[in-house]
Amino acid sequence: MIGLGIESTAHTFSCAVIKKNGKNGKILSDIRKIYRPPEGEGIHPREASRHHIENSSIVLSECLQEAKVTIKDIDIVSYAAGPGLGPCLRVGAVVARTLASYYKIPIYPVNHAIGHIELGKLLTGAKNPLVLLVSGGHTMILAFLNKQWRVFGETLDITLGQLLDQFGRSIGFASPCGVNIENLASTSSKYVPLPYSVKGNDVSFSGLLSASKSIVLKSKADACYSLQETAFAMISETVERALSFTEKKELLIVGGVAANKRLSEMLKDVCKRHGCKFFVTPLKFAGDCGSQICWTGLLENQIKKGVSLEDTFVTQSWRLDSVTVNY
Amino acid sequence: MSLTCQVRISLNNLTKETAQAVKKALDPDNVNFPKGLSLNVENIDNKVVFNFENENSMKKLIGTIDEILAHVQVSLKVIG
Repeated sequence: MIGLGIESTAHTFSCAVIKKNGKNGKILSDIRKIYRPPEGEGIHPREASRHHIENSSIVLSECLQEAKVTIKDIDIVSYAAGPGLGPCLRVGAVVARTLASYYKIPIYPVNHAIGHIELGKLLTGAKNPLVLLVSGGHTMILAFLNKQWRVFGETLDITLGQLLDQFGRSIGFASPCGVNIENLASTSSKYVPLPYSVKGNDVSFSGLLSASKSIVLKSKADACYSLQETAFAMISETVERALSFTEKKELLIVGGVAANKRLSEMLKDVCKRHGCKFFVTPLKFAGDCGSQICWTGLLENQIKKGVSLEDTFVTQSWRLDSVTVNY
Repeated sequence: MSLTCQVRISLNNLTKETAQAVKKALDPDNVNFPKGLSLNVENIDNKVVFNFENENSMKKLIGTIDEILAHVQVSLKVIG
């Protein structure tokens, strides 16, 4: 079974081809083009969708070429149906629907967030993990129970990715800013106290963002270091409480911020205390990519034969805890 | 003064299969238009015809036509 996956929820337009054999999947290709806003500016949905419109056919043909397949070898096509930016989501959906309609290929709408989790499980071998999903669109702690991913904590305002990006842009970095902040933070060890806001098992980052911006004039490096230490400590506390409660023996980090080494370091310590295995999605596939959509579509194909084109929706705010997982 | 504007765009000289694929690719997103704006898409043999109608805001109409034509371009490029 060979699948094609199309990702276009935000700044990345990506296509991937995966060959599924039983429970195993082999990524044959994963091609991406990423919209980069000007330095100091955030993602503009219309501009990002323009980028995707211009690059979609190029990415698709490169993807098929690298996988050494033609469109006629593709058994199913899946696309990210949400959550995400409306104009961007529609571009990926149009590409998928065109292929499905013209070449008579079954089509699957996929929840982008579930895609992160399923790809993380495929690539790390985690079986039944507590999942930390940290990206520009999500900050959630999740565990799977009775056919659904249940939320054991999330952000009450901005996500961890937004915190890093908005702070990074305020000091002149271009989005995504996580790597630049991590590099600058590694040059400092001076901690400046910042607001630490954990409510129940949820976190709030907006006060931390404002306070971090207010200390940046003294030292950018100290501000980056203190921001990371505070935010990641908040995440670690909530993850530790969720591990205690769920008694899971595996922790899996997925999403773009999974690439941050300091976050992994802190969470590894949490895992040691709980006798828990630690898994993190490999760097290349931590961020948005076609593989996450393709693999989830292939999993859905195990239990259903695609959806009719009339039902191929896009939904900007499609929560992953509203999706029933039957495979 | 209220202004009603109608725009008809016809894509000709497609194959029947291409015309159908383009219409089916765009149809599911053609919902929830702002008040006063409507779009009807017809598939006639080897043509796709878009009929836009709008009252008042020209900006909404221009933005919608722009996005629909961009999606048509994507669809046609994907088919090759």
